[in-house]
Amino acid sequence: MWNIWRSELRMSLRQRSYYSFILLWVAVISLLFLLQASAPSLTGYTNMTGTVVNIALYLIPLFMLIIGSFSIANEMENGQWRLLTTYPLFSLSYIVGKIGGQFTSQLIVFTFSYGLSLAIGLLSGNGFSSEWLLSIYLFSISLLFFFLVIGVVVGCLVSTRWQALSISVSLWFFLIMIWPTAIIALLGLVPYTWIAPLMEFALFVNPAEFIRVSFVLSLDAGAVFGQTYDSLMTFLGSPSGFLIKIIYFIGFMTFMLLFSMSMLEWRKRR
Amino acid sequence: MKKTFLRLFGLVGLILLLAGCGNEEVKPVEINESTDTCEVCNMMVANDQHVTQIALESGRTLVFDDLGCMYEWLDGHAEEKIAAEFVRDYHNKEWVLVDEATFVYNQSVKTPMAYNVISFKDKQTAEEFAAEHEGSTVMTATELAEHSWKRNQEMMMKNKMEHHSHDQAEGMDHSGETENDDPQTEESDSSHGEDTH
Amino acid sequence: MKKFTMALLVFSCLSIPTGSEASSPIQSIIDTTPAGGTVEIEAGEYEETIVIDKPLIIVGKGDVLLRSCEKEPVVIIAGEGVKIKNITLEHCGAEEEDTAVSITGSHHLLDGIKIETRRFGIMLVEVNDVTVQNSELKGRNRGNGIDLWKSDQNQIENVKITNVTDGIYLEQSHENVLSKNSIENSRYGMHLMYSNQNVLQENSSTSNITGAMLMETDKTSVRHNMFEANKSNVNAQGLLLYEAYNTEVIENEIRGNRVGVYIEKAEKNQLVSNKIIDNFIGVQFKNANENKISQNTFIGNVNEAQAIESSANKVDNNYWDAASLVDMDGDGKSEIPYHADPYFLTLTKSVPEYQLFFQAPGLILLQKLLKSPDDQLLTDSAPLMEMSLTVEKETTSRVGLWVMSILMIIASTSVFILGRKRK
Repeated sequence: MWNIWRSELRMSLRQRSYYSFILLWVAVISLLFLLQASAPSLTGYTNMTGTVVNIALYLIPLFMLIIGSFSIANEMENGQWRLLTTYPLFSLSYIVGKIGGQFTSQLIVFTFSYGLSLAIGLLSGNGFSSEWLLSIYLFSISLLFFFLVIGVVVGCLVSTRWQALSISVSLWFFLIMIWPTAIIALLGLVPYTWIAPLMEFALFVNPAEFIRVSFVLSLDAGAVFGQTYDSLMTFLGSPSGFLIKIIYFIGFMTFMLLFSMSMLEWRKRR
Repeated sequence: MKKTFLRLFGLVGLILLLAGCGNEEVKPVEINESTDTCEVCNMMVANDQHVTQIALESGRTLVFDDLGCMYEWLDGHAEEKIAAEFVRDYHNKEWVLVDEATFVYNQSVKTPMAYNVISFKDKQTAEEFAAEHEGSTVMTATELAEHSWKRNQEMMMKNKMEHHSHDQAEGMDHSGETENDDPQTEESDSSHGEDTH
Repeated sequence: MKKFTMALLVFSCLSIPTGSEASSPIQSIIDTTPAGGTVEIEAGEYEETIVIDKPLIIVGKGDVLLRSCEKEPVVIIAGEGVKIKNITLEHCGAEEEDTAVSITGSHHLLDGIKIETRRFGIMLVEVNDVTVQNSELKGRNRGNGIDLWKSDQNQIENVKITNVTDGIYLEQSHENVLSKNSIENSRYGMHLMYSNQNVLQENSSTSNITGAMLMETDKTSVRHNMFEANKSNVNAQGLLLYEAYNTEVIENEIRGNRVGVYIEKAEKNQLVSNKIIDNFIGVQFKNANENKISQNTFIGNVNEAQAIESSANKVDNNYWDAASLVDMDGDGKSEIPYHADPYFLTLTKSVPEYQLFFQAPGLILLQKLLKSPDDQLLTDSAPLMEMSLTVEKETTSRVGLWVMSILMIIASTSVFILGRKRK
């Protein structure tokens, strides 16, 4: 597992496209930080925070899905994975290694860009609140992680990079862009009393929504979601809510890992 | 692809599961003081004897802080399908169906939105209350439907008008200042006249 | 004449020894003091309730505490011209309508009074020209702080109210002036019902469910108030106008609330020159017509304005930081009108559950796709190009931020180098 981890890290660090990410993140983040100059305040759930969150929600999941799925689809395509199956390598450690390696490398590039953008923002004379910066950073990192995992799982399903790309993009489109539309359309068909529980169910199904809502909640703005979710927000905001997040994380990981593992095992036998 | 399919499958399963619990009798929901607001006037609803609620057939429940607010809502939403309307007994806060309750209108009873109508679970207690408090009118649900909530408000408006008259108010040109000839309005006006000056 | 009264005052200046043998020492002094006299109360704790029904001046010398757990209020004031100063009152009655102070009559003054109560603080019934000032009031969220019923022309100034139901509640009370008060951690900061021509100025209402609530009011003046952080409750807002008419809301600062200003069924109100900043939703209009919204500054609101069923509102010359602005003729106003999209309100009105999608990226997309018809939009015909106020913001020290930035760069670079090297 550690070998896969390391080699994945080394591989991705040596790709040229990897460095273009620095450019992308620095451009996006420093632009947001420069925009911040006109915002009246630096903390809490404001317009600025909303914008940053939405841009992160547009960009990060898409790239992470593609990167995650490509890292495996690539090896599927060029036969490296077939080669690896000849070793006594457990599927789980392969996947975990892949996720770990990719996550480490993406974490590096994102952290680096974030730090650099902050420096650019500071040089241009802007002020920031460290609390706000950290919460945005953590929000982005969790998005990064969750969608990287989903990406890797997608990678386990496909056999070519084209498939990986199309599935990643459609998944992104579904989970980010048309999620509310789809849910609203679907819930229009069910009796009214089911709407609230199904909305909560949907919240847990889509990690992007879960992370977004948790983030808004962490900014003390859970009340904006209205009366229906008051008890849920109070619960998620309480210490036991942290436990829920951990359980959610573990549940998500278990499901994803088991699923991708069984996919790989099935393919191995084929 | 398969994953989304799987999720869809799970969702369908959940829907079927929920569908399993069939329709049961409409019951009043509990009032949550910290989050419930009146559908009409936006006030926080206190868990007291004045709260009323409407259960829609869709399963949605609307809460009102004052009987008058409920009737104002009914007035503007004739097209909604209503499963049940509940009011509370003035004394023990027990939920009662509107049709089974008896009402007392009394200008001196304070209610959250000053519609001054309270509800009782039976005729006897209502009449006892009316006997104890001067100026009470006892009503059944059918009579209450005819009750002039509007006029009650107009009285408020008229109070304002009167109040304005001695400082050259620009008119309050909404809702009727027209039906001043109603005896009840006149009467309550004169009794309130002193206070507003 | 004046001299005579002065002399009388001095003459009747009696002081009460602490721990007097009488069961109600203060009351007996009050009873024996002639009208127009002064009663000075020595520092100490008294377990009694008092009734003042003639013009008297009651002054606490040092720390005077009156406490009672009886059903009656600690202090009952009636008649005319009663003045009480420098007294602390504690009431622990817990019946529904219990209050620490009950006032009727007119021309009274309460100055420097500290009240702790379990239910109501001060109840004013059918009073006229009463002043409550420089006081403090603390409750248990189970009754109103200052409750006026059918009371006109009173002044409430510089009173600090915490943990009550409604900070200052006015019902059928007109021409009162509430100024420089602060209300915190209560249900509604200031709550006006069926009350006209009242003035709310320079108050601050913070961390309540609603900063100020005007219902069925006419000609209320709301100026220079601060409504801040009324955001924790799911129904929270800075200022709520419901069936309010001819209200002037001018130069207030409405900051960090769940909804800045919520207007429903209200007509002919003016919302001018307010700073509406950092709210989750700036303004919300439901069925509100013929209002004027002008020269306000909307910045930092997650969602600036939402309106449904509202028409004939005059909206112009506001500064919206989310608007796209183009000024072609150089008059400082944009030629592109700014629209407040009603979609979210329309969606959540019938199904409040969809509020969970507040500002979800997908919902913003949907909102853009489903352009609402123009006549349903709240439109600023000429938004301002420049915001007219300067904002000051608190920042973390630059050194700290530099450290953070450099730490991030160093940490990532070192892991990067490690990752590349390792075989």
